Amino acid sequence: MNQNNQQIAIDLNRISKNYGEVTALHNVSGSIYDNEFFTLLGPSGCGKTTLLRIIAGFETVTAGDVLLYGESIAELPANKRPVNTVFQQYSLFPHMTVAENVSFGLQMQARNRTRDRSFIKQRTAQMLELVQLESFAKRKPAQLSGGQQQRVALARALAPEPRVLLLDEPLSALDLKLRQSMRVELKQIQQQTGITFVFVTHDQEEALTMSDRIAVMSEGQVQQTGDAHSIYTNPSNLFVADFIGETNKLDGVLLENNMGNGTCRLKDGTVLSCTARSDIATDANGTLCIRPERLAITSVDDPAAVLSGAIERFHFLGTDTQVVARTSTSEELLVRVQNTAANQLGLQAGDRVGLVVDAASATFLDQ
Amino acid sequence: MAQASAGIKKYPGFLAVTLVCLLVLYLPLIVVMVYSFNDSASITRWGGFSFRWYHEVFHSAENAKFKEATWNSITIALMAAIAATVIATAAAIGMIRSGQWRGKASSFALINLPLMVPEIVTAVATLIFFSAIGFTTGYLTILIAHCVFCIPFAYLPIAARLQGVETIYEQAAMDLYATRWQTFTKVLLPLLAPGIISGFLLAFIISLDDFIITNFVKGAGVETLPTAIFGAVKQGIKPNIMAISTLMLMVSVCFVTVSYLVGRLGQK
Repeated sequence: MNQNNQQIAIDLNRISKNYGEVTALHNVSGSIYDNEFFTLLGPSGCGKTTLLRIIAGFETVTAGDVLLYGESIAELPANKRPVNTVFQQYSLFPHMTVAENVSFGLQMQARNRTRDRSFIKQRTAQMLELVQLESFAKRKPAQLSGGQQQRVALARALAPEPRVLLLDEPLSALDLKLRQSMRVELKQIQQQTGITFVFVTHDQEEALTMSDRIAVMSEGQVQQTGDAHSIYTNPSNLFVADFIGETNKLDGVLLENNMGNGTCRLKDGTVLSCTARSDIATDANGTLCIRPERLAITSVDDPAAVLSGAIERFHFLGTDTQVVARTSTSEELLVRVQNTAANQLGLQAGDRVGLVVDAASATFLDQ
Repeated sequence: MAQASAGIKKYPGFLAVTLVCLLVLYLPLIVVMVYSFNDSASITRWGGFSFRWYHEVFHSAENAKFKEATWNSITIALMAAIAATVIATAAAIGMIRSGQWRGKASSFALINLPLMVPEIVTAVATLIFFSAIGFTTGYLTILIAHCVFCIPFAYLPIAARLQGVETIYEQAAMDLYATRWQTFTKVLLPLLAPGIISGFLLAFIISLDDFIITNFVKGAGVETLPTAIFGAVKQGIKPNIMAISTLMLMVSVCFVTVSYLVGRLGQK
């Protein structure tokens, strides 16, 4: 996907939001592209929901501007913005039927007062078909399951053809199985409709599986923006490395940095090749991050082994086993081993092993 | 709950105290109801069953007086309840949907203070107020006074209901292009309806029932049903008063039942 040729749907321009003394957002900038599934990911309290509510028009900015397809919407009230929201809680109007809920936005839109009723009816039916709830049109929301209610909420928000759809943790109230099938459904609906989705979640798995791009947020700031692969494999700082997936963190010093290819020395004196942002200076203290699945177990005297440790325990996780090892400087190392027939290592707790890692999988971060 | 009430039942004298309370509360009402069907002119001696006094209420010489008083009571109660409900709904939305502001706590106290102030004080104060601004006492002064003291009664069920309605519905409506007015009429009002109906019925009953304030501000010649009954009783209790009282009791019971049912419907 070449993003340089893409139209920008939402442009966030140095947005800050304070509640009295508390800073919820600090100088947040970024672009969300047209027809993109964009996710704001972060722990609770990181400002992701505040940012979504600012785009929706439920919160005002303290400073900065929000542009929707090039036009500032920061001053527009929520009911004048061509964006719709799917809320975390089931927010369906309890006194209306499913069909009445879905057609609500269409009926409120000023331009539909000139359109005939058959258009609204047809569009409502089309939306219910999209979320596969045609036969539920006459039911009240209380007669639907949680998953069905959330699908109606989706249909209701999509019916007025918003330019951007905002989703505020819409799956968090559902159980695991339903959540997983809804992920697939949401992604399909986004591709079918071609509407830009801005999705807020604290669930990294949700973010990684659905998003075209992810913005990882923490403490009111965007820490890194990129596609799932680049955020996972090239975290730009320790927070991102730590928040997304599991990571082994080893303290060390960067000995040399040659345009991103460097070597570092760990506390126990081990020297190994790694990657590092090219702006990190030589002799900088920092942390070497290695994903557990990038470490391979070998015998302790294998010349390819860069690290070594003693196995402490095993966690059986179904498709893989997590091996916990401890280095001579008593730092914990997690190793993921796939449970294939070839990987029956026959190891026991207490065994000393060597660990292999290639330079591309060891990332040195300075903060 | 079940255990706690079982425990209370074991206290000595539980049954006796309960019976005394029920007797004191309801025996006089039952006596009035029974004797309203008494064929005798005595209010203490039973002379057989008849609808005589009900017939008299609607057809005697006193009938005109009571008819007018009833009409006054009902029209005043209706208008006062409507006005109080509208004001109370606005007040509830203002209080509960406005976030935090200075003087919110004292405003809450001000709205509910009339419930705590002795009615006789309000009555005297209202009378002094009307005479100070040069209002002639009469139908209009009763109506204004009733509107005012009905507000807290209408406010309580409406505010309680509004507190249970999450703001997310209003936000969802605004998000779907509804104006503030559309959000109110199409989303908030239907969700508030049980509270509003309860508040209206309560205000109506309170107005219909009021004696002290009405008696102070009614002026000469204008009567509501309670003041008319009081006037008639002063000249001696006749069984027709019992018939009127029984009719009023029935109206009240109907309203309270409807109010209760509507409230329960809203909880579902």
